[in-house]
Amino acid sequence: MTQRRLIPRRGFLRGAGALALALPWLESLASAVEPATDPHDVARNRRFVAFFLPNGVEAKDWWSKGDGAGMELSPTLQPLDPHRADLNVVAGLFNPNALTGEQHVCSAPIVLSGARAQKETIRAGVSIDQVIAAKAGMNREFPSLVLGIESAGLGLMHGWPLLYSGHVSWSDATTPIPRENNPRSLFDRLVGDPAVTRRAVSVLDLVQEDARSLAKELSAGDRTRMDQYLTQVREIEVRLGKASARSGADPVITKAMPKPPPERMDGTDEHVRLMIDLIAIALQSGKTNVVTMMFGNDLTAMDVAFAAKGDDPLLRNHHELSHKGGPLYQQTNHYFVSRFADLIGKLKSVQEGEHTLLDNSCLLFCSNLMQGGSHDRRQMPMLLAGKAGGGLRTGRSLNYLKHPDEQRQVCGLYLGLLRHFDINVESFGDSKVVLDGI
Amino acid sequence: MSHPAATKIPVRQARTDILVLWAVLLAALTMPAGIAADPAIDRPGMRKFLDNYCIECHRGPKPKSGLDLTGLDIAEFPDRWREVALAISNRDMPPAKHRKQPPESERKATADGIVAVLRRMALADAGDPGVVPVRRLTKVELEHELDDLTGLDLPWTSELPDDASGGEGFTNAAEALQLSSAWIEKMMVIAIRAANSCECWPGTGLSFTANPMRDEDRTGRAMVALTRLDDLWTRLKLPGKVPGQAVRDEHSLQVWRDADLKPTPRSWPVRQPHPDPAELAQVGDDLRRQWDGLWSDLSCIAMTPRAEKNAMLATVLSKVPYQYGSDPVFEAALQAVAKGVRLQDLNLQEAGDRGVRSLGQGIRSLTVGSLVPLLDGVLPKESSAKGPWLDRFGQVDVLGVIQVPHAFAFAEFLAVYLDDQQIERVWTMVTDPGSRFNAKYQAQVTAEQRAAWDLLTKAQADRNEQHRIGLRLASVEFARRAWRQPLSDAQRTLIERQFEARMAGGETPETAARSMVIRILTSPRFIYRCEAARARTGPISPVELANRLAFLLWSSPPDAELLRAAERDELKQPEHLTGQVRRMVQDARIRRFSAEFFGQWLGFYQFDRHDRPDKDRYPEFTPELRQAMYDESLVFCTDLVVNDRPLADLLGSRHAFLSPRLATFYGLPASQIDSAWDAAKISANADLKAWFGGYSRYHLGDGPRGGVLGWGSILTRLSHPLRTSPVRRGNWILSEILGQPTPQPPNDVPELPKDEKNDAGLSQRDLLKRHRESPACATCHSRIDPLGIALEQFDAIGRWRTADANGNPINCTDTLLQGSTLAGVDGLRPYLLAAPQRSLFLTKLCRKLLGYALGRRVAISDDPLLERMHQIASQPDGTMTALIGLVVSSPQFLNHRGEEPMPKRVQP
Repeated sequence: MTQRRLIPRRGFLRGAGALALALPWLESLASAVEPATDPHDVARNRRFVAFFLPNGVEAKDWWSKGDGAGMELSPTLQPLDPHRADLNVVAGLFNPNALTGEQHVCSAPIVLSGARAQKETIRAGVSIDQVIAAKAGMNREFPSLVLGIESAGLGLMHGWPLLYSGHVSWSDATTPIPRENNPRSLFDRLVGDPAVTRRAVSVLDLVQEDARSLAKELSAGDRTRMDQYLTQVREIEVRLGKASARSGADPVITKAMPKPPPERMDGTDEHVRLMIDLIAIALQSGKTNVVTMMFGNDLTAMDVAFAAKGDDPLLRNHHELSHKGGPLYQQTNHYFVSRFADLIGKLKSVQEGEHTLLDNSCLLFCSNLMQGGSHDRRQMPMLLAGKAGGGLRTGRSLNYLKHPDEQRQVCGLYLGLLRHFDINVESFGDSKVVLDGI
Repeated sequence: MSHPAATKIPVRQARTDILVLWAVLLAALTMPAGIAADPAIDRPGMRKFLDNYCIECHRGPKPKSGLDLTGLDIAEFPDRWREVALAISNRDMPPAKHRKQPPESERKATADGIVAVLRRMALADAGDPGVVPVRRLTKVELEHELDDLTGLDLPWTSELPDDASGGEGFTNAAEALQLSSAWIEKMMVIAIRAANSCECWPGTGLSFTANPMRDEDRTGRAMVALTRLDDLWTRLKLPGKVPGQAVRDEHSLQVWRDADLKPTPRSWPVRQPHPDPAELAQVGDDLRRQWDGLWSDLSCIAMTPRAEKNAMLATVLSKVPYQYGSDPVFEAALQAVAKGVRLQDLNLQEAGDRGVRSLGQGIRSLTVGSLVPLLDGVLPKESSAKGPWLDRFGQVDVLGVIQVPHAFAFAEFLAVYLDDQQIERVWTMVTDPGSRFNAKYQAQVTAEQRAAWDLLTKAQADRNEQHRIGLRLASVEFARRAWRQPLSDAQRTLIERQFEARMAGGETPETAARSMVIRILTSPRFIYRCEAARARTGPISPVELANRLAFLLWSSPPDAELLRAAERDELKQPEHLTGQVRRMVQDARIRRFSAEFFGQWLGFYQFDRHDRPDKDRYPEFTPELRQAMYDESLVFCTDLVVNDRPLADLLGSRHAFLSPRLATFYGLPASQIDSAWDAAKISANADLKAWFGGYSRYHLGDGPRGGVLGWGSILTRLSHPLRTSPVRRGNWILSEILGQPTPQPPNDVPELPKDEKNDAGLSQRDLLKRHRESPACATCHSRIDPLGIALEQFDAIGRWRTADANGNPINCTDTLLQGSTLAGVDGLRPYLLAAPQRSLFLTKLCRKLLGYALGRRVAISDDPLLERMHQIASQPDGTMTALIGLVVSSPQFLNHRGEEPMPKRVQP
């Protein structure tokens, strides 16, 4: 058995003193990263980013009023104040399939799909990020990046697999996508190692031969899994093909930021910030058009002392903190909104032709619960930022609470967003009705 | 709706008609074998009951609790119907406040009726292997398999995301094992790492080593040999040797190199590498074989034509004019070389350090320096004058002459950086009278030398051919091992063809073999545990069975013995099958089962990484203590399995395996060590013996420890950073030990303070009491809390205590729902061991074990098997081995669900 090496977190912080100081490297990002794409190719440049915040929010501090210059933001949303004009605060939406079943485990995995999670077998539905990835993502090295900051929980909760609360991104109803949690390994993938690339490319066709011959031996159900394997290998092939067109490791990214430390880092300030930086770089360098990021599993017991000031022991357990509610809980909401704001700021500072990278993007920030402690699923906190390539108006407070139920379903929002990515489907999830104003 | 007798209950048909349940009930009623006569199923009565008391709330688009009974196909959702039956018989439903309450007789008839239908269904489909999609290796299985395949204990999978769990709550559940392109890419990097740690020496096939040499050069091999010698030396604990010294001792290495080609004791004078025979006699055949193998390895390398050719070239080149050094010893040495004396026969020790040094100084300005311009056309591009070899062997001085730091760097350079073709070209250059080289240095090569060269060349070609064939075979063999099954002719041909294609494309045999390693480890045949499709449900192949067994018990592939048994088709004989189980359970790899099965079920999984307790409040919770707690659980479970301990020991054991550190922490004096216990006697397996030997077995007497209830690992994991959590502990006992469903808490739950030192100064018990005053909370908490409160005598890191952090004396007494009083762990243990609770515990154990073994959720068709398991588990001599034996000989385990609809009653 292999002993896992435990890295004392404090040790890392000491060792990374220089790195911590260097965190504002992103300010220099714009100059360091050369435009990787044709700035006028708007369709190709559209990006989608989804953030998932676990365990809900302090509801009374989550609101907005008014539109445009007169828009007023609640305490939790204050970090977004400089970006009011690029923002839509969307209130009053809900996910009908989240109303039944275990409060956390059944509502989290469907936050981006609106499907119903099943108890007996692992099954939910394809999520909006993956629908977009299947179209807008395909002309990039990575159709999508699915990220997180902690491993999925193990075991069952009231009979429901905890896998659910750790996966919001699903490529189809039975395929939750494993997340990348390690900044270093994400960095390494983005940068690419030419030696590895060369060797990998050279065997890809060989293993595909295996997969095809194997598929003939397997049952119909298993052939689907083999098809998935083949699709993924082809995805890698395309990506590595693109990567090996460069002569060496991606110089753009290496120039933009230092290599993150190799240690496993579960849920720390540095961890979260590194992931945000990497997301910015991945989008800016044209490595990917679609990113999904979970700020923890729903029900997470993560120690969030890094996200609020105080030594209340409740901070040691995010989920329990959410049940207590109150100022500390609100502070953690504020922290994650601030990181969202960081990304907005970064994307806004990057010019792509006449527009900014933010204009070309649609950023979504959501949680499955409104007030975390009461598991309120009658509405969800949702934020949108960016103009999605120009079609989405911003600077608005949108409140759907008083609309009839079918006109305030979260999938109606998604259906509308899909249109901005030229995906004109009749329905998405449980909705056929595009939300007003989206 | 009528069903012919042979029709089975339709599975997975989406129907929303209110008639579904009735139809299915009808189907059950018209089943063969006298079911219709079953008096337990009163169809019209049940229907009337559901109509009268249930459907009103549980139907339509927004049913209560999301439970729409009208669309709930009993064949698809048997567990829900089981819950319905339970709710009815427990009087949870219809709710007490509901205006209509059924008479007790109807209640009973309906609940029993549903149970009877479920029972009929279970019998009808009994033994159904179920749908188990092809399984990806779990991260842990992958780690173990790579360890086993390569013999290297490296953190292979550290970059892979952790697996999530499904099925009965295990990471090996087929449906939860997802693959992403990121995962495959990481697998590729792992495969490349494995390939890079792969050595391909003539005659040895593929071998893996932690310090692999890039190329098959003698220096590299020497380094490897030295490293191994070093390891061996350390393990033998031979006197006067400093571990690691051999490799780092440049001088001794240099002497060895200079002595060239033939490793003899003299060649390594610093080390005296041959240990005393008397010492070797003590270390046994195994090490002696290793030792002999090592030296034969070294001579094998030394005897290769390649090495001889290098020596010849060095000899010829040494005749080239040089700048004389001033040292007479050096002069004598060079003249001896010029006369054809072999380098290794020079007594360099006699020449002394001074001689060696000056020898180096003299030659450095001679060979490489003068050759570099001429080698331009020979060397690979990247090793031109400024290439990496230069970094290693010398520097360019101001005159542009290469300064070589030691004497035979050039020979080493030849060996490391030139391949066979390049050596040929150097030879041609040296011997060609018309070459620039000859024009300058007039190298003289005799006819004998030419003839010798040709002979060597032919020998080398033969050897290379053998090497190529050897590596091709080795690649096929590696595929067979990595893919965990004999290869079909097509698969074998495929590997061979791909290997040859690589060579035809210009790769060396070594590179081609390494490419095969990468492709074999990236193949879906490696990543997935493949089982061939079958049209009909039927037995899996013997090799597939061997794989199921090995992954169940070892989380890794079958070993040679198991595969042999499979290939001889012995596993279909029950006594052989259980014989294998008994053998495998005694293997050291059974620890993986303890960690994966018991760890994930009971909750000490990855406890060695647990870092929740507050470091200031609990400074005692050090990594060492944590490891000791983890080990306690792991050793206990392993002992339970390996030594056939009674299953109830999990709850009531009167002994514990502890390190001294943990024993002190638990307050157990050394006098309680079981001196009669001898690790050597409890296992025939040497590794297990050694492992158990690292702990002492303590008698626990009347003390509070013993079994899971006293484990530091569990007590800590079920606590908060700053306080215990009777709720978590109680809930764990209720759900994981007793297998009782706990309804999810209501939406709005008041919280308890997170620190024991709370402002109210109340104990956890009193806080919970207050909590339970709310009727919404009381239903569950009156069941949960007493169980957890009984463990209040253990603090948040599992330490015994008599007062909490507020200074309140611990009151660990509470009243169970049934009315009896539970006081402390001393009361809890007998309570759990009493008949009804013990039975529930064993049910849970069986269900977990079956789910783990099958990699899926347990289905209603597993009920009969679970009942038999329970019978065995309930016997006084019921053991894990017996349960495992039953599981692996069940139709579920021995068969594979076919693509056609399941025939009735699968026979094993």
